[in-house]
Amino acid sequence: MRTEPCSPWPRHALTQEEWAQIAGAPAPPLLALWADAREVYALLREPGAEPLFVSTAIEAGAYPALSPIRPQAAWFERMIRDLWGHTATSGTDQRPLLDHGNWPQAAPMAAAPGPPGRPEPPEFLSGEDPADQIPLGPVRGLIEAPAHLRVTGYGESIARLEARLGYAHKGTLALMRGKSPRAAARFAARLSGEATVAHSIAFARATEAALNCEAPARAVAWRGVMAEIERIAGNLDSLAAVAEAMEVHVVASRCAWHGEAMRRAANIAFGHRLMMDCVIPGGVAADAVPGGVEAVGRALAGLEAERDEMEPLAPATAARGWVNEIGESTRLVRNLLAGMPEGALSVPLPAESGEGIGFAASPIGDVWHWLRLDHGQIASVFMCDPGWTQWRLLEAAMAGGQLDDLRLTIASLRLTSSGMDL
Amino acid sequence: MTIWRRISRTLREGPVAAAPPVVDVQIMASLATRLEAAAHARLGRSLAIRHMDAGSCGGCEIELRALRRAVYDLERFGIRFVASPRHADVLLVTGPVTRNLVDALEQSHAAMPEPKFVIAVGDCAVDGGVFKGSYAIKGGVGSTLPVDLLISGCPPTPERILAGLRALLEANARSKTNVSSR
Repeated sequence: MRTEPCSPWPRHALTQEEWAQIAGAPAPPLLALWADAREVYALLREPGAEPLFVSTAIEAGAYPALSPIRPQAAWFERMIRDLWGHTATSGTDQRPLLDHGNWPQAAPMAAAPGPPGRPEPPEFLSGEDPADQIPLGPVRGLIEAPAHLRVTGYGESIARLEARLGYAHKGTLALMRGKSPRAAARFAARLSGEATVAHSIAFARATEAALNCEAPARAVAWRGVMAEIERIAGNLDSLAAVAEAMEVHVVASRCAWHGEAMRRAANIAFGHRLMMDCVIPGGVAADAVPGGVEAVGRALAGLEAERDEMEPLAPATAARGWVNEIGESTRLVRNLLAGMPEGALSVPLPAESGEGIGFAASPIGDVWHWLRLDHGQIASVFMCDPGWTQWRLLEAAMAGGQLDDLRLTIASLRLTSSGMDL
Repeated sequence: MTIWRRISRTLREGPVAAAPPVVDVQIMASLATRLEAAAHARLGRSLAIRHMDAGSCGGCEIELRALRRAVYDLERFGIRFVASPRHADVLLVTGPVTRNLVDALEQSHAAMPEPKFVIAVGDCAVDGGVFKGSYAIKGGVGSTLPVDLLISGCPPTPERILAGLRALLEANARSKTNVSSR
């Protein structure tokens, strides 16, 4: 085992035998698994402990699979094979995930991409099951992210739900390679619209870690404000969606009204309703404009006065959590705005080499970014979205469930495609 | 909250729905010209929209959902989202058209009855946006379907999208008058 410099957690470069030992134990749990042309990387963490970052070199196009012991690794392994062409030896699922056979090249991120046309659209495990099969998507619902859901069951009972993803794959990681972190930040901000601030912060932190520099205190405070506004507005959207699914229309309408008030306040303060591109590597793009802080304050006050109106949603466990989060976020924003430090908004980024990991909490779940810079340019990058967890939760939650509950479950899990489709 | 608080709030503040946005005269005029050129049946005084996410990041969808909800209240203009393309007048496309969604986009369009309109919403749908040049995208709705209306922005605000949709309705009403006065 070698230790490679990576900030803030060093990377343990393992031999394939050592990697296989890690793979053979279920703990610590896997946060993310990805690759580049030469190596495969895993970020593991025991809840509450420091993350453990390991990697192993690809040998003869393969690496030992983690999926036999850690089932959540299977989708990552499929993604790695589709993008880089590395095979997970004895992986539990060798079907393609992102590559539906439509790209001009197979393994487009590999050192030498292959000819196209390898995969058939992924088969469903339900196969020729004699039960009723309901195909949903990729165009589904009224305003939904693209995904195909294959529901197998008898009548209203669902025996198995499978999600086929990859429809929204835009080749984001390939577009980021060779760019400076400042230029690539636009892609991090557009990995998932629901978590644009969180992804921008995680990307900025990874860059700052790699370059051994720190965002100024004022920028960190503004980032906190933006992240909490994103959480409040996102939670209100989700509450409105759950209220619509539960047909509690007055509550849906009030949630929508306050969500809109938050987005308008963000627009006044930061010049963008979703605060896209407001966080940049090295700091933030700008101060809130005069009057912006007051606008945010008014939106928060209006929301606090009516938080008890969301009570009818309490039967939905997720909704109760979101309402509590809104209260915490409101306090956080108030504190950050009250104690806003003076000083610079950003630091210049040196054109140096380094490797770093960044983390941020998005409204849906944690996001993790890793990148390696080569003389100020991105050599390799990976961005892990909570979608990797949420879609698996949908499959687990709907097994043995009822077709009627599908809409509410989808609303509760806040499923988005773009983040994990990359 | 008691019903009285709710009633007094409504009396005090009025309805939450925002005032309708101003319709862009230029957009409307160009749409009216196009509608007149199309000699086929007109749309009514309402629009049924099928939304198609062709690989969007989800930002445009946040604003589309806002359009349906209390503040923008799309349905008061006779505009609504429908589940099936077979019931739609308008295919509203977001996202840069990923190669994995070209088939679904073509099939959705093919399933719509005539007359049908295609609206590209957001910079990605207009020309691929920041994802231009990627191996995985075809690049803008125009690469795959004839587009009637482009609404740029990353993402465009709900007002902008609403103004575009109302322009389509108004242009339709205007071209109807023109036809009947001939």
